[in-house]
Amino acid sequence: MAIITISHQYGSRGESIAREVSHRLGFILVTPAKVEEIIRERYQLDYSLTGQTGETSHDSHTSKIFANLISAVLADMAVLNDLVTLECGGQFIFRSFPNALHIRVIAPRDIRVHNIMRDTGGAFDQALHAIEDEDRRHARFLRSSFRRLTETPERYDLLINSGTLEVDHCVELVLAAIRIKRLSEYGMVSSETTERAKLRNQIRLLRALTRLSIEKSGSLTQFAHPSELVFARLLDFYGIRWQYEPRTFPLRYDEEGNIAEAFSPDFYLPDSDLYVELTTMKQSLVTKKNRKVKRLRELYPDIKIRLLYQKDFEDLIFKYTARSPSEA
Amino acid sequence: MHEDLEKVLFTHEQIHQRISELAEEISRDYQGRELMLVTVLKGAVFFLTHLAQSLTIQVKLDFLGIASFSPGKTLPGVVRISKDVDQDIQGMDVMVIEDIVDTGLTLRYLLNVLSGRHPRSLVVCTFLDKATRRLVDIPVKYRCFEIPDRFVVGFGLDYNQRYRTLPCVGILKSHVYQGK
Repeated sequence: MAIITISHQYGSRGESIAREVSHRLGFILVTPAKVEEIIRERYQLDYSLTGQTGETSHDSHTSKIFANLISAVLADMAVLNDLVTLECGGQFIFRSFPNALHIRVIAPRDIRVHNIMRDTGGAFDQALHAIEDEDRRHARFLRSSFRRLTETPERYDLLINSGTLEVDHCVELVLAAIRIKRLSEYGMVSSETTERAKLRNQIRLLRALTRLSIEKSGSLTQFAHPSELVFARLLDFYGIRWQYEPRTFPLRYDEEGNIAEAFSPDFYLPDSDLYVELTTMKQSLVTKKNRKVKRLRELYPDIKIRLLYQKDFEDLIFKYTARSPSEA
Repeated sequence: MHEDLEKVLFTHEQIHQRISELAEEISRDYQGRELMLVTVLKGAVFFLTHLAQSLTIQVKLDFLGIASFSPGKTLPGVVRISKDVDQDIQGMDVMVIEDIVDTGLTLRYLLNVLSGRHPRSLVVCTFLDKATRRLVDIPVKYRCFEIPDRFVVGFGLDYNQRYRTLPCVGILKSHVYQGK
């Protein structure tokens, strides 16, 4: 999974460069329209990444949630595919991704205006207004979705001024950078890593959908974390009875005898008389959970509890995924 | 010792000795009866061949394959039987042969499926038992060894299809499966 993110100034020919790069590499081109289409088809939601001039169809909170959804959609695609993303915030979404190349295409304003006039057949003033409006929209999108006030050049691996270069020359520069970074080679990961990344992306998608209150059945709203929903459904499949947070165990009292700390394990499996607590990969949360479980065992020695770490959870799911069918 | 092993848990000699003991116990328990050994592919094959050769009773062999099956985006991790047993087990004494039992979830699924076919009896015999990871109670009647919660390979158990043919059982060094 190699990622090329292309951010461009409107009128700088960035889209043409992105299309040609994706065509030459055989990568999937992901445009804002493509992301909107996926969100609309999969989740029956209308959200415009491009937006219209002056419109603020969502408040900043909702924009942030949609940014998470966009991130999850792109990450989901990136797990199995090599991508070229165009103006989807990919430079922020994949900023820590090791197999990514971040490109920014710019051009002098007069060149951009000239390009828009040629593309649209419009007059100078119209093209100039269009560029100014689009620059403002882009800044608004970055600000509301990713809390970025300005574009900073150090965010990118390659900055191309298309004002002095033909599109083909710009494409060659991008391809040369990919070769130098050996992106196509290092983009390959093991099938197990891919499957684990898919699970994490699925959980991110569920988290984003939970915040958007998409699932009307209400089942998502029952759980505090999407991984709990995944685990509950897994137990359902295996016919294991479960209860969600059925009991709270006081762990510490204050001087007045009030409960100062308590712990409600996520699941109780009545057939095994076993409590199960899921935990994430965040070390601070793992440490906190470990302490609580340890305290619970000290105070309630008859209570059986298992702490399922992220890796245990993934091992449970991928025991039979890393291998081909008919193997165990 | 293989360079990727942190520690050998059981040597080749210890494994053979224990399998012989288990075979003797099973032969005693099933004296005069015919036993159907249903082995879960592939990791348990090494255990099966050594066990079956040591039994002194009549046995039949059959195999089950399991694969993951995710019917939808929001239900990862469920499994399906990719290769079913070929023989009718109704009225038979059946023993499920496993390489390792940990959470017990998949084995519970298998036992539910097989019990629905009305065998005369249905028990579990596992090479390794990681009981500390159990999420559901599974009656494991026969086990060779109980092991700690560590990633083990050898004698049929693999990591990415490697290490199955090691004659011993050992703990894999963490950097191997963490990809460091």
